[in-house]
Amino acid sequence: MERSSSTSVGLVGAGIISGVHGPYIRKAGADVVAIADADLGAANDLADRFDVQRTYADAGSMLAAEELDVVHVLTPPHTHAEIAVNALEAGVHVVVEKPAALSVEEVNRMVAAADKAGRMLCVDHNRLFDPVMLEARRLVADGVLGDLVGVESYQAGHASERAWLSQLTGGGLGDLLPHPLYLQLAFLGPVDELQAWAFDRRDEKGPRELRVLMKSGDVSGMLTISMNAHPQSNTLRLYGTRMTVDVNLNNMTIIRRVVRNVPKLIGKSLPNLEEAWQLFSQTGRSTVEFLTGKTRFYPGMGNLLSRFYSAVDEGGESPVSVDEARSVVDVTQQIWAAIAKDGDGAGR
Amino acid sequence: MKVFVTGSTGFLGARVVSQLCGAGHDVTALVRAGSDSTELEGQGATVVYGELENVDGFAASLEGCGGVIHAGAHVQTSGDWSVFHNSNVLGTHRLIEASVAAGVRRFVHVSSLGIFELGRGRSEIEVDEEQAYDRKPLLRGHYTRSKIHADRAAMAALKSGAPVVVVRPGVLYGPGRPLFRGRVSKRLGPLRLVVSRASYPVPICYVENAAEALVLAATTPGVDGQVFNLVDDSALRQREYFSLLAAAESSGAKVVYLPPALLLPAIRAVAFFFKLLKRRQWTPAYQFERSARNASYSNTRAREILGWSATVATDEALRRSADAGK
Repeated sequence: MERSSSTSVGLVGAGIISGVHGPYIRKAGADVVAIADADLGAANDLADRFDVQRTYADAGSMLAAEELDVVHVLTPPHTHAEIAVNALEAGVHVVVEKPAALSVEEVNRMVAAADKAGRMLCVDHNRLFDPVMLEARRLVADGVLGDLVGVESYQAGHASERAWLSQLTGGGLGDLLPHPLYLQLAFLGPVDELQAWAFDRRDEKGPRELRVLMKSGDVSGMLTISMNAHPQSNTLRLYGTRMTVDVNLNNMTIIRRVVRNVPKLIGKSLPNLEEAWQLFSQTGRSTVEFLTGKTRFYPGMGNLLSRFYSAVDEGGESPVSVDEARSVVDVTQQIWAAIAKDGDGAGR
Repeated sequence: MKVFVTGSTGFLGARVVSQLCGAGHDVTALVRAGSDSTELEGQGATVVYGELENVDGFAASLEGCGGVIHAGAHVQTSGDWSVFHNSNVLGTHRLIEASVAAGVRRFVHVSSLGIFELGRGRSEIEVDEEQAYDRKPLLRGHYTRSKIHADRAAMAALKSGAPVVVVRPGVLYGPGRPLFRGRVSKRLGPLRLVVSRASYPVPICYVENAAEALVLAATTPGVDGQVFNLVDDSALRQREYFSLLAAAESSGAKVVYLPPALLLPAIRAVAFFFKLLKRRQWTPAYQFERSARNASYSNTRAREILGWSATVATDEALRRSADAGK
């Protein structure tokens, strides 16, 4: 029954990720009241799961008919800008899946619409809010790590088969790139220099290997994405003058390595034991949290949306700034431009 | 007025066509190829052949219509979901789109009272037009699930400002259909066992009365965007209903009420083992819990806003139905 006065949310797009947003929206205290998808059957199936009262075949009709406070744009990336701008112009806050859009020009249009309407535009850089990443960010922000020297990301995986991948520069790599890139940029800041390589085109769907080297002031960023390497892996390493931090985003562990002034013999074994203990205790804790339902998949999205909806209720700042949204799209464009300039191989 | 009717050879749609023709309206009836349309033509209706799966195929016939009464649906107890989806859900969505595009001034969507969430427990629940949809549509079978989805489509169009009226009748009965004998009931010699309580409501609607409501919904000015739940008599209870039924049928079966609460533990136990063994829900358990609910439905809106009332009273309606069955 719709008699509550809580925040009303509409979803645009009823794909796989919409099934993840739904429960986290509810957990953040808001109500999904309508779903729009060109595939009305998909919209209805999702509505059945989440007890949603109305479904629309297009976002425009939903915006016109419903009194929404927030719209989640969960459609393929090339459709984000138009839907988000329409929603913002209709006076609703927008959460948009990553990447925010395909070009800086598109992001700028979205930001302009958000500014004009006085509404939030929040891109779902959810990994930044995974508990292990929140901890890593705290270590950097509080200076525990010392001065940051470099950031490395490594991601081995495959992109899910999706009809719209062909709309994305880099195909599967283009789909995998946003997550590690926004994680890097959160630590690097503005990129001064950039080199990129995309290679291994053994099939027609585009390259399978991507390497990016970036420099921002005195900090370097290295990014590896492999669609060939196994097993699947997703890690981020932060090098600081006082500490090195290893974040495993798949297994949700964070290992801190610090200098120990101990005799040489112990110095060979103590760090290993410390590492083993950190892995052991964190694995135990996260297992318990999963089994008891305290943690679910995409925990970062839960944290991000909980902050976002607090901001909606209390008029705060979006947990992800529009500058972050823009810089990810900007650097993505720079990466593919550098690769394109160099023909089939390396780019600078 | 020129009125386009879907489901015109169906239980309800056929009555709608007769009433419209009788009132001097110009009726266009949508008929599936192969259906017998002689009766419709005999009443003066124009017959258009087509199917809800392909609205584009007959959309031209919507031009110039003042109203559409969408009483058609794929009604089966088995079959693929895609058939129900294409016909009942997408069919409704596209038919509304096509009607709006053709300038139709009123679209009446025929829904059902079976689409609502009733919750659990023994307390009485008053179901009004704002009641949420059933939270477990997957346990309701393809037909009811498709009617929920179709209602969503109609409500979405209504909210978008399309001139839609949604009418949700209760259990329809009348000549040509078996009479309502309780949702869960069994004849045992001189006894009729009914799983319910004598004080529980009976949400039924005589088919001619429902047809009248649809005609009113199509022709009454100023009711765009309204939704109407429809039962003949909100106050009708099981005890009263079964005595009217006995009088109509001149049958002496004694009705014995089995309180649902008595059977629920056994049903839930079966459901528990079913889930354990088959790893899915035992749908009859859910349907039993629903049918055993003490749910009452009001026809106040239909009476006040549409000016409708059950022209044929329940005793007379039951007599007509019983006579037709002899």
